[in-house]
Amino acid sequence: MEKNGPSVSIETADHFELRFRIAGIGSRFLAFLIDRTIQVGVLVALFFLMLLILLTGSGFALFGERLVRLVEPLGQWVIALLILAEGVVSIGYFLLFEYLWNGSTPGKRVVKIRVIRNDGRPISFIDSALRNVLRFVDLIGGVYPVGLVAMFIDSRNRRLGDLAAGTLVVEDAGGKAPLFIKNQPRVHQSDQLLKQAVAEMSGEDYDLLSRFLERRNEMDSERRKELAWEIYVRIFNQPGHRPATDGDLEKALDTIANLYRETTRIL
Amino acid sequence: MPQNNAESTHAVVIVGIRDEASQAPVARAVAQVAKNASLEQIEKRIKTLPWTLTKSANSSTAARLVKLLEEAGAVVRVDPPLEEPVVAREAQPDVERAPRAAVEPSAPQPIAPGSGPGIAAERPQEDSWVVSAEALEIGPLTLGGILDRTFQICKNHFWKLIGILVVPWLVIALLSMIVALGFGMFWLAGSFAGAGTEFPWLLLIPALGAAVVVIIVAIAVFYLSQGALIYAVSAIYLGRPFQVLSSYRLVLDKLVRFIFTSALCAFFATMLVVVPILVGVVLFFVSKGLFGSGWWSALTWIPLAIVPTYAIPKLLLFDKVVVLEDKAYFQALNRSWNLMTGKADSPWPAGYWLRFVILMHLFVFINIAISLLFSVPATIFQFLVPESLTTVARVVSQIMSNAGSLIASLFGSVGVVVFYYDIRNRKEGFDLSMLAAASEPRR
Repeated sequence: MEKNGPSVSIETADHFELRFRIAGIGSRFLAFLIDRTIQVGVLVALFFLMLLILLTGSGFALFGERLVRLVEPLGQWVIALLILAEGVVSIGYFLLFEYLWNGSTPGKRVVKIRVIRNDGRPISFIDSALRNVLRFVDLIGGVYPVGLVAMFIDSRNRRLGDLAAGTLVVEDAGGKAPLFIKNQPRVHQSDQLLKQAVAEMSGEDYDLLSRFLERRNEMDSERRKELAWEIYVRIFNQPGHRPATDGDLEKALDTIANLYRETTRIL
Repeated sequence: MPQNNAESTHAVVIVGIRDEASQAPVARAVAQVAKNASLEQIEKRIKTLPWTLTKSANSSTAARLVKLLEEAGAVVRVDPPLEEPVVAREAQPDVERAPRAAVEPSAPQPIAPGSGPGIAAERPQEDSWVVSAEALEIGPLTLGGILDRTFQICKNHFWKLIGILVVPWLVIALLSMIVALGFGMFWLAGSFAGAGTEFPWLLLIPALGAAVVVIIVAIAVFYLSQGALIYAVSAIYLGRPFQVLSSYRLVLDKLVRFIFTSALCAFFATMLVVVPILVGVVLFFVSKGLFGSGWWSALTWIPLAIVPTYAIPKLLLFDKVVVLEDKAYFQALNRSWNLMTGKADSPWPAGYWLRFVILMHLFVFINIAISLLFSVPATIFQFLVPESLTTVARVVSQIMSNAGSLIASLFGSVGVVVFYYDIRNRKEGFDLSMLAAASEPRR
């Protein structure tokens, strides 16, 4: 999968280099929308839970009366309390998850990004608090207009909260397994042509071949055949020196890829 | 704990050419990845080496550039040097490798202020030929990836892309102003000449003519700018050079086909809405006749509404097809339909139609955010100015609102082009073909 955006490398005290790819603005926006949906879902669920409690045992007739009795003495403070509650849920959600989940939230997990400190270490509670308190400024209007401008201008896509707290949002590789980790069956290929072609393959030939094999299932069948043929011809570019494929070009390409991996010890 | 936050970027410098015969291949190789430079300009520039092509390539981009340039016959230096990947070292035990001497560790280079550690600053700042990093990183993307790429393109080429989009606004504003001024002055002149304040009906004929001209010009310029934008974003995506004027020029040849294909698409879209409505009306009366109440036909409303909801988005890639694939009319609509049919081999949402619909909704949110940025200050400004300046405030507010719409529309347009290429990468292995073309087999 191709990624977007710049990357940062951070040198640790023992001169070990950590590399991170900066999360794109789009991914961050998507993560925020997912988190916001969860928050709204939780608030709505709480509201209905409250309704249920008020309704239970009293019946619908008494419900309105109870609600009025509950709200009336508070007057306009109700609105203030509701805004406060919404703020607490909004900020508390990010603060808590980012602190407990090593810079991640459910939304960030879905799009595979997380928050780290500028020095590559996990964020602390204070960092999380600082970047999330400033979320109020980034979030004016509810859809991140200020944050969007800040991220658009900053080379590392940082919003105001990130700049203040010294944090970065990076793509989370999450220890992804290599593509060919499975133990492939050994290829006992006696065909000299095949061996020679594989020995002559460049890294880019293999890159092309492996990408094709990885993604062939979502390709249109005609185009899939064409591409398979193009790659085959690229590897065996002399018409007289092509091994028999028994009509199954992709199987031949699979064999070539396996043989190349065996020869070069690529996982 | 000392920390060093450096962008892991490399400068790629052509420091020499192996022999004279290699000059043309090297120029062609640079032309594949350089933007804003013709082949002639590149050939001329190559004669005055060293030439820093980029100061901000990531490792993989730098490695690909080195490979491309070395194969063409250039001697290339990378600052800071690239590490030789283990896999690449082991990959070809018996094959003669391309000379790597060009990627030798070099002496420390002078550092330009603000250019980041280890980045050479040999090329004058005013030289804007920079290798496009986007060019070498195409492939299937997730929804988040499409949004990221959209923002990346808009961020890196903001003013050029806005320049393309702003042209129709300016042309229409100018034309409207000319027409309004012309007729206003004519009317005023008539009033002073004693014609009274009655409406000069004869003025209607040239007014209608002018209105028709303005509408035709507006349509033409609008489609020109849309086409130019599609072309420009495509060029950025593929790492090809583009300029605002050349984008317009390239679309000019296809303008008539573009407008008529758009009209055809609009016709089909209208039919897709009108026909289900008519069917619904007929079903209402049928149901009234059969069951005594027409409201039973409400059961068919949802299936009927599904038809346009499903079909119209499938036609909406037609403009990319017209501009980028040179197909028009039914061919373009058919191609758009085919592209939007099928499923990606990716997590939810997998269907191309659903991906498109979700993407459009995400752009609505982005549009709201951008519009807020402009409308909120405009509204505050309107409240703050004294009453005597209400007209000025209104004009400023309108300009800001238009600017907001313009920028918001940019993101959507760019996003759909990226989405179009994403489908082609997935369904047709378009990126693989590009990769194959960019790196000819060694033998």
